[in-house]
Amino acid sequence: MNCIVIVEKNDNKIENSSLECVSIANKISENVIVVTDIQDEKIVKSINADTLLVIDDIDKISLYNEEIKKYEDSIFIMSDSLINKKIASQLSEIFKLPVVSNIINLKVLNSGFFCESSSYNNNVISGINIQSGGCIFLIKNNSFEIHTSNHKESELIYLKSKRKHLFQIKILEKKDVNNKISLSDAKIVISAGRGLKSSENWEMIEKLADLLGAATACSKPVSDLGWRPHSEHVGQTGIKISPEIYFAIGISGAIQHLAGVNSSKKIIVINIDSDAPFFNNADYGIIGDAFEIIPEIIQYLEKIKNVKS
Amino acid sequence: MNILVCISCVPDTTSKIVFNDNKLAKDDIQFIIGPYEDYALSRAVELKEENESINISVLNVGLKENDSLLRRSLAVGADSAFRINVNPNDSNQVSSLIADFVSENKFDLILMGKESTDFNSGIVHHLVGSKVKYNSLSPVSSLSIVDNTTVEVNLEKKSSIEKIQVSTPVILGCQEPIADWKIPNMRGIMKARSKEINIIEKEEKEMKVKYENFTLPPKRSEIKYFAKDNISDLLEELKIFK
Ligand SMILES: Cc1cc2nc3c(=O)[nH]c(=O)nc-3n(C[C@H](O)[C@H](O)[C@H](O)COP(=O)(O)OP(=O)(O)OC[C@H]3O[C@@H](n4cnc5c(N)ncnc54)[C@H](O)[C@@H]3O)c2cc1C
Ligand SMILES: Nc1ncnc2c1ncn2[C@@H]1O[C@H](COP(=O)(O)O)[C@@H](O)[C@H]1O
Repeated sequence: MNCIVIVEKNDNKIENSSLECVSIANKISENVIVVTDIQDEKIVKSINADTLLVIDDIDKISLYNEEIKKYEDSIFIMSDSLINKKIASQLSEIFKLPVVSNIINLKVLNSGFFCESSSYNNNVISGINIQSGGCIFLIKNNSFEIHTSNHKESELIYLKSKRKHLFQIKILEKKDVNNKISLSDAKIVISAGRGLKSSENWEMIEKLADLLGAATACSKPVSDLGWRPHSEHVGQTGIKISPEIYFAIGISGAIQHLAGVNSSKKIIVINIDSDAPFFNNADYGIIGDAFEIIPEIIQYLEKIKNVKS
Repeated sequence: MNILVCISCVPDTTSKIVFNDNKLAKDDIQFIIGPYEDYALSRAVELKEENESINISVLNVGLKENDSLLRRSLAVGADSAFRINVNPNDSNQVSSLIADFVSENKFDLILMGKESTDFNSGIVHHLVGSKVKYNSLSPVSSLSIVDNTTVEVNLEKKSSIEKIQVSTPVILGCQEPIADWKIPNMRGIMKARSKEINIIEKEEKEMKVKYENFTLPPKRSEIKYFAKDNISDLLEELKIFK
């Protein structure tokens, strides 16, 4: 069985979630084919695969179906990202394979596969059986460990497509989201809620995030009030995230908020109200005023940083 | 302009999800139109309020129990409702059924949610798009009509938001703040009563994707509290220093 992995870039670095996928592929398949649009040869060659296919734009993968079709008896593995959902749908139509999302566990059976998918807003784990014949697996971020196996001797192939993309769109304007670190990929997320009282008070949240190399997030009312951009709103109607560490500061822990964050590995809640529901869904808690606690954490981290440098 | 809104019927956001013998215990659950699809429907109704010639159809793949939510969509402002009478198994099956419906009927705009809140796949729009060869964009946080064949949307990407003009037919996965949720008024409720829900019968096919069991995620261990003056201990325990 061949395993075709889509590897995404993040500022021309390899996305961590893609490394998870490469690691899974090497574990379950003897022939790993990576498809990527990273052009830097050194970076591409650092990916552990038997074949490395470099294309000009990962968004247009369907234009390369002839090349990809050469690998018969293949399954596809990629991270469950916005762009990969579209790629997976195109591949699904070309190869007539089903797509399964939010995968947190994957096993190869004698015939077919068994996987677990996180569903009902992370409240349920669904066990799914897929009959043989291949499948496209979308892997949930931070769900698998990255194993470093012996680096393979790989073949590097650059592909150029002559055909044009099917759909034309006109981009009128592009605004970068000023998150220095992408929320969906961040290992640490610092999130704050209505308890912070006004947008000016996010200065300390950003500072803390900076010190920890973390992304910032917020609850829905905070983005509704315009204190923070909608792109930072996590929860049932916002982004769903699964970082290693989630700080919830001045957030009550409503069920709709939890729906977006409850698959975080460790949750730390800072809240002035000892009865805040979030404390029932957390690993660590500090009962107290965020306006005292956050500056103290910042001070402590700065001290450590100074000692180190 | 013909708009189709695809709705999933999912447990209310506050419901406790319980599975008995691998079946969702539906009796104790209140079902709602998926929150994202509610945004999509609300935006469609707002567009119709600006332009009466717009026609809105809603479609659900599901069983009879969903008819009350289809009726609610009519009460909110949809013109007609369709239900493909098949038990939804997974995104692949649902998108094949929606794709067949879309090929047989002409729509300019197909609005869906960014994702359903049961499967959370966020992929039906793209799967339908690949099958019927329509462009699909998701998630979009604003939508306006430019002219009969062009719409303008804000498309959210990983690290940017793009304002885009795209020609119809197009499929959009909607998310807030595209519209404010609408609640049906008395007039709408009365009007919806006299409308029919169109039932489409389809044969159930063999599924490639089989849901075998449902379990709850592992519980978090007991919470550990730290006092204000022991914050350093917490940070040590988290090992988050670079
Ligand atoms: C269909 C639906 C979908 C929704 N989707 C989402 C969603 O995606 N995401 C989301 O977040 N919400 C969502 N909500 C809203 C959700 O129900 C809650 O209203 C919301 O999460 C509350 O936000 P909050 O915790 O920031 O504010 P509040 O509930 O007002 O909580 C503020 C908290 O701050 C604490 N606090 C106050 N002062 C301080 C201080 N000085 N220091 C420390 N703590 C302090 C308070 O004790 C309190 O716990 C949704 C609701 C519905 C109905
Ligand atoms: N059973 C269904 N009937 C109609 N539309 C659906 C159904 N399931 C999903 N959809 C639509 O597809 C979108 C994406 O769903 P999903 O890929 O399951 O997250 C939803 O927001 C709905 O608009």
